[in-house]
Amino acid sequence: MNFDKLKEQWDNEPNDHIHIPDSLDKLKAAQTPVDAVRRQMRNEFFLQIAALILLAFAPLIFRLEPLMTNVFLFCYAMVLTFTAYYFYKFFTFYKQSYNMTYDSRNNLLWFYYELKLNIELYKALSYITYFIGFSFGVLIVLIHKVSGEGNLDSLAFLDTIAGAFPRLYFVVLLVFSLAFAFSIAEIVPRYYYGKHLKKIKKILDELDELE
Amino acid sequence: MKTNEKAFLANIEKHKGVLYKVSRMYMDNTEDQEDLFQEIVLQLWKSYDQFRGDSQFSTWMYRVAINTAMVFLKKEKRKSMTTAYETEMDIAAEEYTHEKDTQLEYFYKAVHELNTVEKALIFLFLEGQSHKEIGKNLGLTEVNARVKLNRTKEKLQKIIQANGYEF
Repeated sequence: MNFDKLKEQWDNEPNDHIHIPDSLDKLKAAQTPVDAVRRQMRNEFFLQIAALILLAFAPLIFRLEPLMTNVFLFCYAMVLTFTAYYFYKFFTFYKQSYNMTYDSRNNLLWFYYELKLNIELYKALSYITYFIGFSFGVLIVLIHKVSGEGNLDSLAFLDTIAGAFPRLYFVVLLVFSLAFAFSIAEIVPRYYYGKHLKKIKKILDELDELE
Repeated sequence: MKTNEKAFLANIEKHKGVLYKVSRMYMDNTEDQEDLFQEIVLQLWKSYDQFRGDSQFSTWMYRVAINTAMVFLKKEKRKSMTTAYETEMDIAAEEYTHEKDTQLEYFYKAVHELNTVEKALIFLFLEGQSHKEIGKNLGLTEVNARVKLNRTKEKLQKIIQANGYEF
């Protein structure tokens, strides 16, 4: 194969048919993984904010008694603290520019590890939120049982179920809530970000390939 | 239009052939090539502030173009409506298929069977970059770039032969 000849043809390939726009305003699309991830992260951010706002009204919705409201507020404050830390890291990643002028390896490595870190933080936050939520649930039931405080009409169904199947109820609740927490923490980030990580990892492996 | 944007577009006009070649190497159909072309221009514009002029525009452009092409995501579902830009940026790839330079046609066809990094190696080689420059752009050592490039050339040759062509 004559690469010199090929190069000559390559150099002489006509380009008259390519038309550049006279303004950059028409350029809207962004289809790099960084842009796609940023879009997704932005959507998630708004979703989490909405969920947190909604959660703040839980004591009113469930008509919690003062003691239980205090316990709720304590748990809610913990969730807010962890979420604030996550958002801080999230914004650091979000605001960092994707420096295309690095060499390919540096560029890919930066993105790969930053995204991985953010996914791990997301998982950690999901599990923490789950355990706080679960602990709150247990505390509510304990307070209700031990002190008898609060005539929880809205939670009366718990008594009925727990009365009928006390152990089974607890196990089923634990299993379902764990499954829910697991799917939120593990499957969601894999679904949204996994393909990007996989693609970047594949290119990094190709760069590292030495045989 | 701002002076900065005007200067940028003038540079793009000057090097549009290179951007077209990258798009053609990485994407196998005209619509995806147009999208990638557009994406590279967009990424170049977004990174334009980082271009300080202490290196040539083309040197900087190669890096951004390759980095964009390597990770570019094809549109999964193509919209029936095209944007004004897509219509305007009419890359008449069909013209080539009727031209005499069949070697380039076979070359482009074979290139699509290479992996992401191999495409970058061949592209930078054809753009006349040394092993050192190729290594610098991709984050490889000079020796590694040379070894990989030689292997890629051999692979490309085999693909072209397997496709029933020889040159």
